[in-house]
Amino acid sequence: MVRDKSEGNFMYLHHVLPAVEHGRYAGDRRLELPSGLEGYYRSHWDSMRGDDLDAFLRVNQKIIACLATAHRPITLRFIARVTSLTLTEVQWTVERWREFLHESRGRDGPEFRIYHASYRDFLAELVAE
Amino acid sequence: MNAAGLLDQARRQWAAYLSDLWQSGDWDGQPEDERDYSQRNLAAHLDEAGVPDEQLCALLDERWLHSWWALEGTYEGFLADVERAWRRAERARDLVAQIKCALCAAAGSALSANLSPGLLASAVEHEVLAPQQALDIVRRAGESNRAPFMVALAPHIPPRYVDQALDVAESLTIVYAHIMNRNDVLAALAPYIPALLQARAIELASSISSERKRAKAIVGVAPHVAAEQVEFLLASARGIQGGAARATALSAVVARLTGADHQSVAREAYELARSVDDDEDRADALAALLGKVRGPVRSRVFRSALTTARNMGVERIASFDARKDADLRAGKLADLLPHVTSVRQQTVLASEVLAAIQRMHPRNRSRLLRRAMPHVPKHLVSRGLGVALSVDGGSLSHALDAVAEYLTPRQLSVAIVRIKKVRTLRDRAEALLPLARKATGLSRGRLADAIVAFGATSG
Repeated sequence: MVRDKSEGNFMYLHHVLPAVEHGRYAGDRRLELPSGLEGYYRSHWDSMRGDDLDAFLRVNQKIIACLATAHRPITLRFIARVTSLTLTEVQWTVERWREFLHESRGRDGPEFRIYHASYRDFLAELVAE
Repeated sequence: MNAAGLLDQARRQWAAYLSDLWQSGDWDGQPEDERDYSQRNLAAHLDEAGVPDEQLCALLDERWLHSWWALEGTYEGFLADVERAWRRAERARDLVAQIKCALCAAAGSALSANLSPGLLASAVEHEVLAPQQALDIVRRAGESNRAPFMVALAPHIPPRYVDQALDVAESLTIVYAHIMNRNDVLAALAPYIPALLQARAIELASSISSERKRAKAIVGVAPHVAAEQVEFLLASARGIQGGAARATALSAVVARLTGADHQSVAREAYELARSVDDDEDRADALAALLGKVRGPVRSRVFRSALTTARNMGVERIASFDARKDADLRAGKLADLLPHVTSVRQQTVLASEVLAAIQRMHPRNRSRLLRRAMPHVPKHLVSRGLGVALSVDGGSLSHALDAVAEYLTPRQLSVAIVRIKKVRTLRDRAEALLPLARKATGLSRGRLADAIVAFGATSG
């Protein structure tokens, strides 16, 4: 089943296996496993959007888009400044999107970037709301 | 919901934030990492956000130029931004913007032009410039300057930047007669080229249009390539048309071969070298091979090289620049001295070389004497001293410097007697310096005092 759903993409396993481990796809719910990597990205995006639409539109998507268009890893403080959001809002969003981000140590503390180019490609297809 | 892409909106946000910051005057007040990011990416963010051409061009002013200097200590980033705006103006056929970009590029390039190859290398060595910045500078330099820059930089290029250094080598397509070329760059880079990139280096060497320069590139690269690359180097050497150049290139490859392959390619190089028409080229090709060849072919190479050197210039009309031929002959004979294998051979050849040097123009004797002396047997050192002492006042110090290290105390005394006959105090002092250093080990300052005293009492 996982082989079919993953469409042979390693990145799919990178995301889905931890999610299965954390019980997100627990039990005999094979139909809920998203199809393909893009399906997984879409399912996560929709899930976050559904949790709190107002916060998603005002905060989350702006921060993720800011990270996706940065030219190199940047600090949370810098994201806050560019998006005119608070540091707390940035921290909260980064926690929720953690699996799609890569953290590295910068001169002035942790820096973040989008983990994989395919996620940026997925974001590039989205329309701003 | 509007139709704008999510990322397009983010790009506009980046451009607006950074642009406002630049105009507000708070640019330098940013935290260090943000200041660095903002400087390096403002032009890119403006471009990506699709701002009008005028807005991108407006960035290219003196303040932006100085801001780059403050960050990097070079104008390379400024020039990269100019290039970006220029490309855009070209696409838009905006002539005014293109002229502005051309002026900016000229100003930035002129400011960068004060850099010498040594200074650039030193800046990277002492981490004033990052290797990437230095490579950007080299890339922007004119073609005639690019090779000297790259040669100086080569020992300071970390492995992950070598592919970029090879790009620079590839960009060198014109063959200049008297300045550095692609072959010099490849030779300088050779010890630092990772195994994965060696095939590309060989390809670059093989595509040099000049046969001689291609051979030089192979000579430079050969000692450093992995064993599995040697066959490609050999194929490249065999592809050279000119006999002397091909023989030289083959000689470099011979050193990397063993057993039957070594002997076979050595014979091939030998046959080629001995059939070269020009006697000077023939002597050089044979001497190059002599330094690399082992086994039975070696003695044949040595004999041919010796015959060629001895007969240097005899087929030319005797009155035609005979002095130059004598200098050339002495030089080619001296080239063979390090390769003699028996004491008898060493004695014969060293005597011949010293006699040939004696026949040279006095001004040129010291240079060759310096090359020959390390290979002159002890019992012939006095003849070397004789050659040195035959040189006139002004050049005497250089000649004595070439032999001083090998003199016995008695020979030193002989030299001092000769020096006392030098007319001017200055020449006398200069000639004494190399002997005094040998005899006393004193510092140059202390020696100078002693020599002035010697001059005053002997004059």
